[in-house]
Amino acid sequence: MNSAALPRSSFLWLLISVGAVLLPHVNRMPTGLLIGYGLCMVWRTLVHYGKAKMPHGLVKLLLVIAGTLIIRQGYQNLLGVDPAAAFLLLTFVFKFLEMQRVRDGLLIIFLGYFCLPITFLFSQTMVMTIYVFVALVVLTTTLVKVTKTSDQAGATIDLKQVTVMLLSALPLMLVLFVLVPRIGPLWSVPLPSGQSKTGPSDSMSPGDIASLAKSDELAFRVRFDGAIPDTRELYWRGLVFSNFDGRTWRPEGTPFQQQKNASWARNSAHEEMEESLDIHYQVTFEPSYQPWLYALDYPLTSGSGIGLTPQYTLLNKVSVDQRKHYNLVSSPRLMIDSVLDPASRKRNLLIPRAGNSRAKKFAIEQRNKASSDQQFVTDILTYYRQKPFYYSLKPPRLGPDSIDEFMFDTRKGFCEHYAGSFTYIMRAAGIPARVVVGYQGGEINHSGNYLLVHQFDAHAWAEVWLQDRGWVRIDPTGQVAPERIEQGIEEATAYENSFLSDSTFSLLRYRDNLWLSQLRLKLDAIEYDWNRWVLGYNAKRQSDFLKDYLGLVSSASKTQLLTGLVTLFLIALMVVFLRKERIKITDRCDQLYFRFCRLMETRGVARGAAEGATDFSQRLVERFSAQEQSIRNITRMYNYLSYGPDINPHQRSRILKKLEQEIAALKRT
Amino acid sequence: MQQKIQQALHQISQVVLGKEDKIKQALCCMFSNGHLLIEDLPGMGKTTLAHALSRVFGLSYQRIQFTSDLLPADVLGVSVYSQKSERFEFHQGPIFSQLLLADEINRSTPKTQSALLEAMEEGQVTVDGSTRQLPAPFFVIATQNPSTQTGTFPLPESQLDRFLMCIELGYPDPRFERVLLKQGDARALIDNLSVCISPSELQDMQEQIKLVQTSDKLLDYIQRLIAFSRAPQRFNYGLSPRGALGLIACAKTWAFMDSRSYVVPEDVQAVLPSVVKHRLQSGINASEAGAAQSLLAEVAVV
Repeated sequence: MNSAALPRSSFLWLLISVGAVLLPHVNRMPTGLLIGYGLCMVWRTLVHYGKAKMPHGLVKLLLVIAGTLIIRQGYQNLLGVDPAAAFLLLTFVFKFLEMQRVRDGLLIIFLGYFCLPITFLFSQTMVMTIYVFVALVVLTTTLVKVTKTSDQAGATIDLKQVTVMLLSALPLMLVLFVLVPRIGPLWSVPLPSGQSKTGPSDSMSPGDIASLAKSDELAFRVRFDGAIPDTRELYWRGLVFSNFDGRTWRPEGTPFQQQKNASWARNSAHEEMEESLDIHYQVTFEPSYQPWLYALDYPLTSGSGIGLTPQYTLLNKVSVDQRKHYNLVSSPRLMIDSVLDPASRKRNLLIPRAGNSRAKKFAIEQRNKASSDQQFVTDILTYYRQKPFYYSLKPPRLGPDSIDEFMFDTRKGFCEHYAGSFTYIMRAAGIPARVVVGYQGGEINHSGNYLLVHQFDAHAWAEVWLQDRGWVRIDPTGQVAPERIEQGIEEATAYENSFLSDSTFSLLRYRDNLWLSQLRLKLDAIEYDWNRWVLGYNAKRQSDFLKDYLGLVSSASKTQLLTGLVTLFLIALMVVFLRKERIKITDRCDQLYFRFCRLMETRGVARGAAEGATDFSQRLVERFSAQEQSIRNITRMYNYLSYGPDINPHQRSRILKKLEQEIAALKRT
Repeated sequence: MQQKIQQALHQISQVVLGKEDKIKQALCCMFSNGHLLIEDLPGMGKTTLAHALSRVFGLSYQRIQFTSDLLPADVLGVSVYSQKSERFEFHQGPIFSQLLLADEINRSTPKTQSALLEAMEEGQVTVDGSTRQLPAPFFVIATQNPSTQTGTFPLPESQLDRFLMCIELGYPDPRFERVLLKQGDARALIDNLSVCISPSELQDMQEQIKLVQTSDKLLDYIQRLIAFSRAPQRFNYGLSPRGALGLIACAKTWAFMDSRSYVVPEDVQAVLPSVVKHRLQSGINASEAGAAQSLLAEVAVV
């Protein structure tokens, strides 16, 4: 049957199936490859309608070579997840092009089942999962269509049948998902390469953060154990920049030194602190492809694989390529670096000798006027507030003396201008200062009671070191545009209407629309739960779940043993369920006769299921004439017991015994 | 008793050459007290078989050649005014006989067909308001040309169901055909056949056949067959309960003819093709002969 021609009615379904498998990859593929896929599908469709011929062997070879070259060209590489996926899909489409028989159709479907989950390497959102389920229904319906010989049931009936079939498998899937022990992967798939890094980078020049603020991508989500703190307090520190070359701010030390200096043990320095002020929260961090993580001022503990730098920022061991969950405790009142060691002091006072002379002069003049460092800081902040400074997403470009130009000429800038110039002036006046980059604020999702932090919440502020107070956070942007700190960037840039002006279709742009905004936040809450409960369902979460909902308080290994047993039980149940189809033989007489049939089968003559005992005995006698008497006796006794008149049990058991003996005797011959 | 059956079989075999299995089926049908439909091309020995059967059973025999202008009255009889007695007298038609050969039944119009078929079912006819019993035993052997031939009115399914069995004779073997060609027309020989089984013996046999055992296991098998025939997408119509009863009756007779007091699956398998042939309309793809074969091949015995 497999070598029969493909039923014509199944072609359209096969075409749809192939399309369904390819669709999620469309926007990730090089255009040349997409054209190739489309060409193959169109070609096969033309063949179906008799408008074209099947490709010749040589043509197929050329296609394979061309496809490989396109992949090589499009990805610059043949190794890696992206080209491998593209190659697999290419073979899938080629198979579709050359399909003719039912066997080919089946192969397409099975390849489709295999290729469909490839999309999970790139996206694991709930929408994608639902899509994959729908595609599964389509594939399975196609399977029904391909294997069906006649067209008696319509497509809707098949579709319904298949949907019911897959849906009835859902409970088992859920049980297995919840209960099967979570074992780490035996091998790891290299992650899709070529992803652009997101979030603040490891340096800051004027204009950097402003460009970041044009992105509406999600940076991370935070769930607080207690109430969500006031927006003004939500400073998410990520990087501390101490080195300044006149234009660009950089962190101190190389990435390697930073890793080395960080403390990777669980930190417990805060034990003497007042616990009630601590903020406990969990961060679900979207992949940024950079190693640093974000925490509220000032993080105290670091989890596994997360290091705490001396500047109180968090570092991941490797760059964050996958969504990461981490739990944190922050203490807003913590005093850091109450004593500043001379090396740090020196580093945080360094400014390039050349350039920005006006700013230097201004700083020294102002410091001389002020009575104390504290007073000086206040004076400078007042300066920002009183002079005509503007907060703008579109600051003018600055020349080589960027601080001078900004402070005295353009006076239009984004947070990095304010943080940078403020820090520079502090240093010029002899006060240790540094720039901190991270995020500020966030959007509260009331339907899920968590905080969303987007890329446009990126922010830069300053820290100055004051005697007896350690490092103190100063945000000069707050002087110029207090609404940035209190209400977010959208309000702060409302006057120039520049918020997300490049992305018309971003739902976030329409935050004013109450209905749209609620819808967006609802959807995000669902996505967040999906991330936490489905994608983030690891061994720990599993044991928590079992403990909380099933009351299983036991060690992890015990839990795993139990879940293993439950799984085995389910599998056994399934086996029993599947075996139900088989007819159970309870009749002793049948059992004996089947024993006889098996014996004869081993000797080369098998009884067909639809063959009666007498007919079977005829065939047997032809083959085994020596045992004729025995075969006839067995058959006669069996027929008599099965179909003959009712006899008393005593007689019956006597005949059964004789039958058994006869079979045993036959076995010996 | 079985000897007599063998004898009858032997006798008929002398006039219908090389068709012993078919003759056995026909005998089985008569012992099961059912009507027989013989479906074949003209000149295959249908009439000869029917005639020979009437001879060996010693039954009164009538034959009607069905034509397209045959009327019900030609079959059942008609009331004619008698001047002598000054009233209507009923003149019995050919149906008042013990064995009626309805030749080429599908050449007549449906009206006449149904007049006959009603009589077959009821064992009586009603003419001019008075009901008249037909003689017992009463058998109808109908022959039918393949419906693809011209000038035929195919019998509807409901009427086909009245026949217990439907057999095809088919062309004879070359060997027997040679004998046939040598000895010439067998019709002259029919008159030489002697009566083997008298009507009263036939009745005895039918009583005995009713006593043949059908075990639960066998009924299971028959029910599986029925269920299979009714499974959707197999056949257009499954086996009716009447068909199932007919199957059991024939299987019992077959067991009896094999001198057994109980039915085994092979008996069912032997009679099944003839019993279901005209009842099962197979699906579009399978041929009609395939219907019985697929039933036998796909339903497990145990």
